[in-house]
Amino acid sequence: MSPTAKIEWVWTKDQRLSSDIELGHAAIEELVQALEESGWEGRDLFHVRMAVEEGVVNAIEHGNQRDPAKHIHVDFRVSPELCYIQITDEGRGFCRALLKDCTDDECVDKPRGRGVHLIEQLMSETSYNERGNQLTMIRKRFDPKLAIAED
Amino acid sequence: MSTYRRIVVAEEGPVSIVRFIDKKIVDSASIEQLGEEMNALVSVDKRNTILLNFEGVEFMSSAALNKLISLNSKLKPVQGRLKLCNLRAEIKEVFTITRLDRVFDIRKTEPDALEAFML
Repeated sequence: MSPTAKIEWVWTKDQRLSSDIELGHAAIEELVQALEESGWEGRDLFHVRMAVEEGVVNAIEHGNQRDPAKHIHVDFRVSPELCYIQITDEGRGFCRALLKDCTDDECVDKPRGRGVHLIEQLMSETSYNERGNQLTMIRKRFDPKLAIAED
Repeated sequence: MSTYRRIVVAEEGPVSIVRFIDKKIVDSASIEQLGEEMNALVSVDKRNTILLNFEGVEFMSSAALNKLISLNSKLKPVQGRLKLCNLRAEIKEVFTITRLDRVFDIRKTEPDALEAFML
């Protein structure tokens, strides 16, 4: 998966960050601000914020094990209609196929393992590289696939 | 009585109504503190009928969700009761996606939840 070359990004951030959650959150806030300035709001904005929060925290805490000598690389791109996010850590990577489904009866009340599931449910497309240390995700604004019935 | 910094606790009859200080529950240290304070509700202050009122909470990460699950687990052995209310639509959707809406009793408003406790 790669972002289409035809997209005209109105904001981009391509940065290497220390494995520091505060730096990660600062980068997320910049992304959210850029999305808001491009007209993103409501569920679309919430979904991106949630997915990028989980992705950045996973990269720092699980990927890099909070090792200050290791870095994450964030590649954020925003247009009024599309958001592209790639997060790379320096960890050993993980195998998505081995992760249990957090919605299974045996896991649903366990206090872990929801971040990856949320990312996949809230974004239009998600993929990992072969090593499992790089997450790429795309969110289309007004994505009909992500419409959900309200109660 | 424990000191709370991340939550505010009020009593309504037998129900302890908990509100959150942070609009965005994402900071790792704050989430850890939140978890400790919610545990203290049960283990130190011996409260076992708890309503979490999410009014004003705009965002929470899965790490914060985990603390709610831990609270729920802590209440089970003491026959405690836990309900949630006033979740904004986007957060309610997170509970639905993760199927935590099966784990927690989620009510729309505080009066709805208080009434449900009395049933």
